[in-house]
Amino acid sequence: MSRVLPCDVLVIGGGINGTGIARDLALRGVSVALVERRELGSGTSWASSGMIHGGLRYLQQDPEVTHHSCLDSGAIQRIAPHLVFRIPFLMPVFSDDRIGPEIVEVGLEMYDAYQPLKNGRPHTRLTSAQARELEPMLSDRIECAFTLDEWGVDAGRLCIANALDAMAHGARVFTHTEAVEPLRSPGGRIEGARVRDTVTGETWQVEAALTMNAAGPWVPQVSEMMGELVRQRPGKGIHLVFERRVSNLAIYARGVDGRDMFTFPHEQNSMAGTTDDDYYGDLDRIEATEDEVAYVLEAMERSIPDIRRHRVTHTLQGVRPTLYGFGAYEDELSRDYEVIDHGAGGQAPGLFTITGGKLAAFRLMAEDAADRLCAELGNDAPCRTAELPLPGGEEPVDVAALARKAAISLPAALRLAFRHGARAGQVVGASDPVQSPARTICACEPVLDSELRHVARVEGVRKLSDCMLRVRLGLGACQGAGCTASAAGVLAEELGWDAERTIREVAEFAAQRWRAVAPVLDGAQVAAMEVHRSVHFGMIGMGGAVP
Amino acid sequence: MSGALVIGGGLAGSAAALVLAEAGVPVRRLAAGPGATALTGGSIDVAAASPGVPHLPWRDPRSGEALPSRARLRILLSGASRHPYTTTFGAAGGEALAAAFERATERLAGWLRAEGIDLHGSLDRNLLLPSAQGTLRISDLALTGVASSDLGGCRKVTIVDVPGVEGWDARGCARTLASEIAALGLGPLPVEVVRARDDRFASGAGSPARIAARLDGAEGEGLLKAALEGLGGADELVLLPQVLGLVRTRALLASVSQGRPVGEALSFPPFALAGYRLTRALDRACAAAGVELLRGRAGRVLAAEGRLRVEPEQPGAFEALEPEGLVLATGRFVGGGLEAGPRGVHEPLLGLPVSDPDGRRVDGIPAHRSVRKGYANPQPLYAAGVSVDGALRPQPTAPAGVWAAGEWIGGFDPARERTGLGVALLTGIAAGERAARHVLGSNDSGQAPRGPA
Ligand SMILES: Cc1cc2nc3c(=O)[nH]c(=O)nc-3n(C[C@H](O)[C@H](O)[C@H](O)COP(=O)(O)OP(=O)(O)OC[C@H]3O[C@@H](n4cnc5c(N)ncnc54)[C@H](O)[C@@H]3O)c2cc1C
Ligand SMILES: Cc1cc2nc3c(=O)[nH]c(=O)nc-3n(C[C@H](O)[C@H](O)[C@H](O)COP(=O)(O)OP(=O)(O)OC[C@H]3O[C@@H](n4cnc5c(N)ncnc54)[C@H](O)[C@@H]3O)c2cc1C
Repeated sequence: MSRVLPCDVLVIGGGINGTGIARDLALRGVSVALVERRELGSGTSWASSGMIHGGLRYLQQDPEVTHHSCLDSGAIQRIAPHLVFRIPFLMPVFSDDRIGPEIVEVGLEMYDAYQPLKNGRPHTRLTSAQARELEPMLSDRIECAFTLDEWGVDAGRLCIANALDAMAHGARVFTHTEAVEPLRSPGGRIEGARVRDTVTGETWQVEAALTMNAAGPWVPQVSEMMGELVRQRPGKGIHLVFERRVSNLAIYARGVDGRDMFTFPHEQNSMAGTTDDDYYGDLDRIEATEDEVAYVLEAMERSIPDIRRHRVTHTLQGVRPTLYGFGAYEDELSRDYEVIDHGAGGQAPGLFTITGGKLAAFRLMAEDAADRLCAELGNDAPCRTAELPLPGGEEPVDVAALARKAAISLPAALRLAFRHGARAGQVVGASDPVQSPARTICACEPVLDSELRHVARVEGVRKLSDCMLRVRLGLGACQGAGCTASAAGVLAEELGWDAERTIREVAEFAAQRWRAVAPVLDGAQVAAMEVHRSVHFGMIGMGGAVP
Repeated sequence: MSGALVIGGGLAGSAAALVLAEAGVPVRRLAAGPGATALTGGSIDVAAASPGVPHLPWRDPRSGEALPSRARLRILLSGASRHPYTTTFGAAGGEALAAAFERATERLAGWLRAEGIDLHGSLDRNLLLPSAQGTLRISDLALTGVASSDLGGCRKVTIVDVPGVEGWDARGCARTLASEIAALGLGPLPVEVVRARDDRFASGAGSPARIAARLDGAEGEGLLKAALEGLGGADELVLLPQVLGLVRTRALLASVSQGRPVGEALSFPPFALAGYRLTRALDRACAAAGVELLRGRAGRVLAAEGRLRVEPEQPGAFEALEPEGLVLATGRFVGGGLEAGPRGVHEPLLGLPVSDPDGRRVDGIPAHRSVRKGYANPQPLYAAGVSVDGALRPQPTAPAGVWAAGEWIGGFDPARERTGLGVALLTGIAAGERAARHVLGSNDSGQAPRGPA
């Protein structure tokens, strides 16, 4: 006998779309179950640039996308102010650029019209000297530069916040749980799915009136499993992640093929990217390749000549769930999205799919999808996701007071307030009878003992590797050499792991960091990974536990 | 300059310098800074066992009998053909190698003793040392501090819980240790966690290094005594994080032990202090033996008309040195003996080829191209270094009067094989002896005999 969970809607996929839809539905009183085969947000959403930009890029061929994105960027700032940070951009213009400053400025003036939608400032034009005063390592070959305003977000935490709010409103969220087979009525209706818990191996069922396929780039796979065809034009993109911030402003760079890329500060690091290439490979083993890395670095070098002297610790890679289009280059494809009802025209009534789109427009997309599902369910409650704050976004945090009260450093308090917003106080209160809540587990981020206990107790973390996205564990220069074992110890206690499981979790985490580092292993990072190996094999001795 | 120069301030370089000085050769030791030696966790691994590495078993796979390092050395020689042990002693040199280690251990113990550190253990009995994570590390030699946490002969382990100490999770350590003890069949050996009744010795300090510095101070000893009051008993180990002083470890231990073993867990940076203590003791031993200690980074080693010349990396940082004999003990990537960058992986001083244990070159290509998928797989990059002949002369062509020592020599992976400081010690001493004979005029240019004299 396997377990059965009945509900109104089963959401398959815990990326930004799945979690956004689950929240929207839960706020409307719909009973929701969400299954995510790995960790929430760990698919494309985590691999994104985390930019809730309006997409200056799309202004020409997709002004609708620009409009949506800007509008919703404003909404995200309202509901999750703690997860959002301003990223001023610097766009250098070179004398050998195809388009001169005058034309560039026309585009920026058009974009200025959208800026008020997202609390952005209008662009400014800087001389070469002014720009180099702001960012001294800019190339001295630039003719002039423009600034424009964008916003960044912690995409992982944004998914978590949506899931937490959905849970607070009655949704059930199951991570490390994969939809493996549809439940079908004799009449051919999709009535949920059989799911498998990949940690325990248990298989059980979610019975749902409606099923929403929100599996991002896995959408075609999940539809196929349901007997339906949904095509995408999957577009792989990579980022290089630098050990620390390379610049204070985001800086545009141009690839050898003319594509725009940028290096931008993102939380404690800088990232550089991104690429966009048709992808036909294994979605579960996406890896950055040598030529992608070289392509990005070459582009960055034009704007920042000494970029290669900065240490790249690892790469991020993902695949965009782009709508299918034939005969266009990757960059020209529409970033629009689609909600498909497989009852209308398809052979699978009860099944819906969401595909395409952007992180920046997730709330609008979720609203649209939830409207469609609610219409089917006969629920006419209004969408409230644009007004109600996400967990943590309720009120601003007095960081200095938090630091004082919890006896933690100001940087630690700042990062805590960033990740958890108004709940930061509750997080540092997640105490243990002996261990000090302020004990530092990871000095790079920093991550405290209490924060790990909190994500285990309140947020439903199930594996050590979940903490990479939840609290940015192991993303500093040492890639977890110093923190992995300590963090595993805390989770072991909270989640009741035995010694064998604990070591296995450490080994898996270490192996995951290795996969992210290996494609760019160079320079000082080679020594850092020598230490990483000595710690894990020499000192801890993971033996045969490494997957 | 006459006399010898050693480049490298890790165990390999320091051992070479001490041997040269004791042989009466005027010697300088040039070091850019601390190397991997300063990051070590408290064991001196000669042939420590390593689960997951089949040629270093801790038990005979058939009989189940415990295998000591002496036996592991023999197994290692027959299986790892490019390991520096094999290169210098030959596949059948097990006994000679063990004997060389016995001499080497005695010398190291002598150097460290005067600086407040003792070297414990032997090749005939495994030390069962708990790590801070609670895993059991089967080792052969260990330094004051961790050596007394050997579980052999111990009847009970009391792990001291000290809240707020970074890298220390007493309950987690206890859980894993109990399970390791059961898995290795060492029981009955109960493990308990006890909260230090008086934790003033650690309060507010955070990192082990800060606590250790406090314990070195005048009040430290008293605070520590108060903390350990009533814990443990005869043959009942009291296990602590690495906090027993930065410099006074032996004295502190002697004073607080009071008839029961008190020991530190093996640990790793930034929570380990053993490497700091070792490095400090070696520096002081070198100074005491008359080694002239220089700080600076060499950029190139040149040889012209039979003369060696060592130039600084930054022009003018120091005056070029022209030694008669040169020992290179610059380590791997952590040490700086190998570099990875725009020119790919390379050996910066002589531009020597860098090879992995299968003899494949990894130099001249970007580091990531030598990487194998899968963290657990043997990684050629991290077992690579320069090649040497049986007399520790860099191959294929290095100028006369140059010897290699330590991790700079390739052919082994110290992290997985756990032979790191063992290689540094053995080859450091051997290279020092050869350089000494060279400088003192005896002939070392003919066919090299197998093994150091
Ligand atoms: C390199 C790159 C940069 C980008 N930059 C930006 C940007 O700056 N701004 C922006 O707005 N957008 C950006 N995007 C686009 C944006 O990231 C995506 O549009 C968005 O994250 C897609 O979210 P999703 O929820 O549809 O997919 P995902 O985040 O991939 O979520 C789908 C989830 O479904 C799960 N899943 C799959 N199969 C199953 C199953 N059988 N059972 C259960 N779960 C399953 C997966 O594990 C995954 O977590 C970028 C994309 C890439 C690749
Ligand atoms: C985190 C970690 C933990 C470890 N723990 C243990 C352990 O517990 N037990 C164990 O046996 N092994 C351990 N090892 C392995 C062990 O540390 C090494 O194998 C050993 O220390 C190597 O010693 P070495 O003297 O050859 O090199 P190093 O100690 O690395 O010394 C190299 C020296 O050369 C100097 N140098 C390099 N280039 C130049 C230059 N151009 N000019 C001047 N100076 C230069 C450096 O500054 C440094 O002083 C560990 C390794 C790591 C990374």
